[in-house]
Amino acid sequence: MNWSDIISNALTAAVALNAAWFALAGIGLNVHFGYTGLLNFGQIGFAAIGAYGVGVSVTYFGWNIWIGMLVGILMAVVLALLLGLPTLRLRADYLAIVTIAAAEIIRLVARSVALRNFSGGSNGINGFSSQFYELSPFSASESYKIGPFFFSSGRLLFVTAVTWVLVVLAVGMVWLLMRSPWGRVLRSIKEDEDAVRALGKSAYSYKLQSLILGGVLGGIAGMMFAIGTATVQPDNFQPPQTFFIWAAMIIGGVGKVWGPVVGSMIFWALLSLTENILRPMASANYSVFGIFDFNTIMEGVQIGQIRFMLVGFGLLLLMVFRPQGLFGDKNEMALDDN
Amino acid sequence: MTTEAVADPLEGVAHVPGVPKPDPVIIADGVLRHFGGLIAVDVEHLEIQRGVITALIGPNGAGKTTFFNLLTGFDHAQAGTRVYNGRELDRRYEIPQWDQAKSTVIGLLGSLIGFMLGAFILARADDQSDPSLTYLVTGFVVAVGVFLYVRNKPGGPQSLAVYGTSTALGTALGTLFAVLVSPTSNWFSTTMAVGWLIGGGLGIGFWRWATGPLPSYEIAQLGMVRTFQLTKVLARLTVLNNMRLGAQNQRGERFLSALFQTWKTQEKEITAKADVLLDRFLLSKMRDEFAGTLSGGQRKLLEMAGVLMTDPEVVMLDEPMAGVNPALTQSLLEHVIELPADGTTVVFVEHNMDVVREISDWVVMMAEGRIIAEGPPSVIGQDQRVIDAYLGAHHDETLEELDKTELAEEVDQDLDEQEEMAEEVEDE
Repeated sequence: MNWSDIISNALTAAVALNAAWFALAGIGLNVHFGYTGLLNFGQIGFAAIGAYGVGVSVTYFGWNIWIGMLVGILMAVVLALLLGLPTLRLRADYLAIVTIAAAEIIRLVARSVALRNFSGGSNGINGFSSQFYELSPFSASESYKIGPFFFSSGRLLFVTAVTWVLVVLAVGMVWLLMRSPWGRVLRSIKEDEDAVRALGKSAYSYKLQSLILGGVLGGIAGMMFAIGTATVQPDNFQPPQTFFIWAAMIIGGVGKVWGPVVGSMIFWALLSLTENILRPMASANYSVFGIFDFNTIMEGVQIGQIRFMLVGFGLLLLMVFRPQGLFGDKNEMALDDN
Repeated sequence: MTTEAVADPLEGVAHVPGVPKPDPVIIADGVLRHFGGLIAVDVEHLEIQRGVITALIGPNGAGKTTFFNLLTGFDHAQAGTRVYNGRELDRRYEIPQWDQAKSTVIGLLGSLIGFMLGAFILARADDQSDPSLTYLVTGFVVAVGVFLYVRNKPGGPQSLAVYGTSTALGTALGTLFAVLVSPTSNWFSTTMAVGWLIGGGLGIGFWRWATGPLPSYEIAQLGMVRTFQLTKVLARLTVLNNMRLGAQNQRGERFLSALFQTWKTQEKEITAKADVLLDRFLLSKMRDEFAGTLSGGQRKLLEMAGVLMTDPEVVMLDEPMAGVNPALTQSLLEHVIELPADGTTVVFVEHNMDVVREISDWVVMMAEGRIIAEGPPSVIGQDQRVIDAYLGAHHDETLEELDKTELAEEVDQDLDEQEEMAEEVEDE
């Protein structure tokens, strides 16, 4: 095994587009769950609506991509209102049910045959991102190697860089908001809604604002993912993605500004690491101390699943030994609610 | 206050339940709350005098906390009205008093116009065939059906007029939406139906908002602020932040001001105010600790100090002394006694009769959801019904002295009364 390649791949994965858009979606989820206590199990639905917003605007309506991005953001706001208005007066579980269902409804409607002309059916939408890459200062045909990080094309480097800039902006915004009285109300709602109402604040309105803010961040994340891959594929927005974003956020630390960012970097680095370690084991006659052949127990096609099992096991260990995540405060977590 | 300094505003007020007061801040009338057949609160009339301390007493299950919840909007009554400071809390705006004929005509017209306009536009937009007659008939049938349904509901015809008009609006929006968004004209009907639903939903939502009760947070904004029987402090916020949360009209609680940091000066004022109160409530030392690290009694203090941060006009304390050690009780009592000095009204629920006697100016006694006695603490303490309700009717007799048949009759009578009440409720 070539360890320097493995490390380099893992480091690249930690800063690649996947990690960046996960971080952005995770920041949104952190606003929902980490600060306000909203159970959003459909963050991928917000990403999908953002991606389709920009894709459909450009390919179906023929609008400019920048207007398309505004449309995507607007659609995320509309989705948040649609999900939040009826459910945020009720107990927290209702939002969870509605969001997980809504995310699937969006994906299934978008891939339906009836809407093939509109949203591309199961083939998705292509060819809407060129306007974005016209701004790229990097050469599209060249690959870039910056230290240990490797980008297969200048386009990829550009969209990744832009997404990371957005991540930093989002972190700055959330940091400013959460140390303001506005953020104080959100954190109080997470603790006890009735106490907030008793002090004359509309918990409902703040929960709605939080849902919109986090949803818009999710929408922008989906948009950048779509632009980066130059395609909107309905099946890229399946329910498990939501839970990967959750996992990334929990690894980093719930309710901490940098938590989801570091969490998603670690999440993707771990996936790359396990993949690159397992693959040569499965393919070649690789054995441990000459007594045990790995290819007798697993094949190449199983690696995708096995690495998720390993990451899941890692999460389990994290929950046992560091339930507050990497950034969390154990003392704060240990406080009881009464 | 029990001191004889100023003339007692409640002097000369009769000691009977529901008696009018010279300057009431809260008036509850006919407030009824039942859970199925169980009547939790059935208050015919109660007025609470401004600027004095009123105690609400009664045995467990008397409905004191439920009544508190009803007054502060944390629970909703099935019937009755509440007036706070001359403002009705059960409807935001008065429903215009239309006579039957007028409301019927306007209601029917409004809904007809709404639905038929919707049907008409829908028919015109759908150029596949010419089904306009079908749409018009459907619109008419739906309108009449909805009208028949809401005719006898309170404010029904008016709400129908609102519904009809908003449906018309919604349909117009739906058309716009349809023309803009529909991939093909096949989609017109669907987008139009969505317009109907959204327009109607918004109309009904607006109507319910305009005529419905004020939500709890708005009642708090008006100055009636409560604490909870099970103390609510925000454990993962610092004591200081718990206090700051209470301040009203904070600029920094609006999204844009929060983002652009225009709240710093106001925050300084709020912090200064919080520090003064923390000092008074002996919590300064804990200022920067998480509220979750406070003891039970300190949490009671913090909750009350947080309420004072809102500059309340009426402070409603639900069992403020429960679980507080005697030393802290004394300091809590002192804080409560100080409140009427600057015009604040205090209403509190309490089980400890000694506390009630010590600090209250007026006592209201509840049992089985009703108010059974009212008066100054000295009088209430002697009231036979109060003693009965608190200690049981025969608490000072031994078992041998009781006449068993008489007792059985009493129990039967009680049960009959309860059944009657339950039936009355079900009839509604």
